[in-house]
Amino acid sequence: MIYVICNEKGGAGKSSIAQSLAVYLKLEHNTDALLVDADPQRTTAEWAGERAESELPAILCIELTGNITTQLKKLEYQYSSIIVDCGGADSKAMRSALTVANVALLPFRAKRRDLKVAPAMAEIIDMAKTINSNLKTYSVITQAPTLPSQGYRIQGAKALLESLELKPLKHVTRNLNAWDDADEAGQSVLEWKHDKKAGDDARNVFSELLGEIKNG
Amino acid sequence: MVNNPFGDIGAKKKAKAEDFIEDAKVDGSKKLDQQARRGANYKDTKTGETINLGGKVLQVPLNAYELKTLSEAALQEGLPLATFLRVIALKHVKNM
Repeated sequence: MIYVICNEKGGAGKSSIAQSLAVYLKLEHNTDALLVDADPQRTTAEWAGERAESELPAILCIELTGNITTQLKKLEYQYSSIIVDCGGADSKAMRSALTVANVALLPFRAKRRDLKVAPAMAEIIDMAKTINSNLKTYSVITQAPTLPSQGYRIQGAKALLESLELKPLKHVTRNLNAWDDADEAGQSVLEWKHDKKAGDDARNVFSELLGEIKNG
Repeated sequence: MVNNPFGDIGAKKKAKAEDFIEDAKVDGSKKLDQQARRGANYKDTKTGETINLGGKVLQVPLNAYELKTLSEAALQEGLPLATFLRVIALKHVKNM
């Protein structure tokens, strides 16, 4: 199963989601997970490097750029789950990964600047689906405001993503410091013991995602 | 149905994988060169596709005498100097 975490807009939390999903699949579903860092910023590769030096269970990570279709097809035979972390750009790596992936997960913040790229991303996904009919697409609201009075922003963002057929997940991740703090220690929020709220958010999102993939 | 009169309606345009990948804005081969000189490409009005042209801009050093003589000749022919040089040179090539 190849998961592509992508969005043309940077800062939506692609790397955090990709890293946490890899940890979730490895530790909570006991699958053989491989992370592919296709982002020139190397956020995920550096995170995996820090993690490898710690006592935590290692997550294998490789770096790929350009047209990565052939590599992904070969790796698919070796790993049960491959999570591709794409950079915040419309790159060849992102497009080529979409042509062979099973699942595309698009993180969006409930912010105007983030959501402005949603129509363009929906178009790219549509094109990718004409090549790869197996591609299932979902979106997730990340860094959601924690104030209840801001809930309308989340609902509005979900409505927009729904209208673009990007299937927003019911669960969201909140704007919590644990995402940042856990990353610094080479951990994921799922392992961060100081504050479990972010880990619960991630767990709910991934659990819903896997359920949707299974039933959808 | 072979003779479906509506067969051409509603069919989704299928992208070619190679074209889809190369259309990437950041590193695709079809990306526009922001530093490209004016006239380095043109937009096909029918398809909207930007087509790169294979030309090149040359800088030709001229001394004051050459510049004056060639400018006067170009003026006499009613052509901009650069066009005049291109036309004359190509004519010469054809007669070689």
